[in-house]
This record gives sequence, structure tokens and C-alpha cells, in this order.
Amino acid sequence: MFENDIEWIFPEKIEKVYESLKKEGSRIHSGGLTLNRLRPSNVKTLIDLQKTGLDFLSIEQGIIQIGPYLSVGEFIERSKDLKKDGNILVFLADVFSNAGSTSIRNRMTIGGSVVGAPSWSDIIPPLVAVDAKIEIFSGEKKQIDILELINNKPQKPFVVTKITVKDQDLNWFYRRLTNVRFDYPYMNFCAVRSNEKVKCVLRGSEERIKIFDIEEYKNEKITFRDDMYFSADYKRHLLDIYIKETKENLGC
Amino acid sequence: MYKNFKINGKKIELRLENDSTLLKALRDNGFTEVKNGCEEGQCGACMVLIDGRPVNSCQIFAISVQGKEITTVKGIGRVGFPSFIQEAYVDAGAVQCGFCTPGFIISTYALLKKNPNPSEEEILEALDGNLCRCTGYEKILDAVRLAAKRAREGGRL
Repeated sequence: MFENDIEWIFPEKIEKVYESLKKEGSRIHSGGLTLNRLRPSNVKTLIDLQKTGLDFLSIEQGIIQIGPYLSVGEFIERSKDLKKDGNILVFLADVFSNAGSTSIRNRMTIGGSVVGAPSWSDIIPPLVAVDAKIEIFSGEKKQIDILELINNKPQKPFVVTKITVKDQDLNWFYRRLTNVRFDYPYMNFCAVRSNEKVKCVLRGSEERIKIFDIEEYKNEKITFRDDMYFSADYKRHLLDIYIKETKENLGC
Repeated sequence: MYKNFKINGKKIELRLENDSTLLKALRDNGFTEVKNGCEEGQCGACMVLIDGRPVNSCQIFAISVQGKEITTVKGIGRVGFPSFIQEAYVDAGAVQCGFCTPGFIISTYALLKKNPNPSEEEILEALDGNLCRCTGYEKILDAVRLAAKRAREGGRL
């Protein structure tokens, strides 16, 4: 139960979502997985996005446009039917399909994952690896880099209105550290190669998100913490193996 | 408060709180075929279909799915009028204590509706949100294979 008697609103326009968000105790309800679990005590109003039309997926002029209300499950299904030039959608669908279970993916939204940026996310590393841009509305539209959203979240009320990625070809390698397949990952690692460079994105080290060129790996200072299942040494050793596997798989 | 929902093809008024999970709202109003397992979205016992997609009802606020098509296992088939999927579970010996079975039936239905000829990998993926503590899964997988065969032979979904 929430502490307050919750008021639900179902706006159709982004402007209305934004205005409603200014009210004290207002929160956006997208898939609702995190809200349902945490039930923050200060929430008074839930602004549901289902009537906003933000569940689109399209490619326009070589740019993939992802609606933040689109569920991960729908993304995986609908991405198969799109006419595309590059294979980025295949890459994203392949990595996203590791998240949770089928039934959880049918509820988990891409925007919710981007805004919440939970440390166990299978959604964030691939989007960072392909330099996703996030369009937000806070009175006016503005585009920011996904890293800016994760590291310096805007303070004012804002609504994510679109996630964009350039449609292109790349090779990729993805690994996640879990006890069992179903678990959220304690560490995940994503590497993409679109030209000669291989960009690596790591979650689960002491840095919230670590980005490095594979050629610079030996010079990178990457540290881990022990957690209840895996020691820092184990994770460090595993990362060495991931790097070795990346080099073998991506031919570098 | 009372709110209107569409459950198993019928318009039904449910009594609920405005922060009730769909699981709680359904069970409090007599839909006890939706089982309360872990309440963390991990076991799949509470699974229902929302507009044809399997979801964990324990992870959803009921208010957020008003106006959508909700299907419980009784909407797929019930005592005396089972669907061929439920019959396949019985014929394959896939039901032991039966607590997880409604969730597995929901996942199987969603899979076969989309694809009556699933590969082994697709079957495993479709069932990845369902846990069973009795059978060891082999009989359940046999049941899905059998149901898929019956779907291809004209079983009606």
C-alpha cells in the first residue's frame, strides 16, 4: 500500500503530463514494475502514459525512433518487422531479450529503464554502446546524450519523449554475470565494433558505468566491490575473460 | 471503490483499492484461479494475459489495465470445457500439486497463439517466467510439445 490515497490520471498530451508532474508527489507510471515494488511514501499522483502514444517504433531517415512507453517485449517483436539498413535493432533485441522473463519484458518499458537506470539493467549498456540520444520535454523539447541522463539527471520535472539511435551495421559481444539465467545481472559487459574501434561498456564496477576502448583496457583502472555472491577478484578475473572473448569474437 | 474491467470476455465490476495489484483485485473478487506465489514477479503463478500478452499480475496496478482485455486461465478453458492445452497438460502428466499450472497454461497459450510450431528454444523462452517446484519441468515441456502438435492439427485457441 502507498501511504497516500493515490490519484490516477491518464493524460493524452505530453504537455499535460509535464504540467501534472509539477504537482508535488506526482510520478510517471509507465510499466509500473519499480513503483509497485518500492511504493515510495511521497507519491500522491500517478500519471499513466498509456494514452500518450509513446509506444512507437520506427525508422525515419536512418534514425531508429523508440517510444519510451514501448515495452521491451513489444520492442523485440516489432523490431523484426521493420525494414532496416543496419543491424542495430537486431543487436538491441538480442541483448534486451536477456532482461527478466517473457512476462516481465511484456511490462518493462524502455523509457522506465532509461530513466530509472537500475544498476542491474540489461537495457542501459547496449544503448550507451550505440550512443543513444534521449529527447526530453521540460517545457520545451531538448535532446541529450543517454550518459547525461544517467549521470546528471535533469532536476526539473521532465518527460522522456523519444529514444533515438542511428541505424547502422555493427558487430557485438554481450555477457552478463548471474547466478541463474533469470537473475538480474551483478555485472554486464557490452562491446560493439562499428569500424576499427571497439567500444566497451561495463556495469557493475565501482564506477556506475565504465566506458573504454578495448585497446586501452590494460591502462584502465577498473575496480570492483565484493557482493553477497561474487568477490571483487572473481569479477575482475571474469572481465579479463570477457575482454579475451571480445577480441576473439570481434576479431581485434 | 468499484471499477469496471473486462475479464474473460465479460464486463465485470471489481471492488478494489486504487493501489491494488491486479493479483489482489482479481483474487479479492473471486478469481482465485490466479495464484498468489512470490509476489515478486519471479514465479509466474499469478500470470494472466493482458491484451494477449502474458504478464505477472502481482507486478501490475489493477487501475492501469482498466479497459484492457484480461484473461485468466478460466478464460482459456474450465472444468468440463477444458482447452486442448489443459488436456495436453493432463495427458502428459505435467500437473502435480497444480499450483503453478495456471501460469504455465497462460504462457503456453500465448506461445501457441503466436506460433503453433515452436522450436525447443522458443518453448524454453516462453516458459522462462514460470517456476514449478514439483515436476522437474520435463513433463511440462512434453505437455507444451503435445499441445503444439494438437494446435497444428487444428486445436482451437
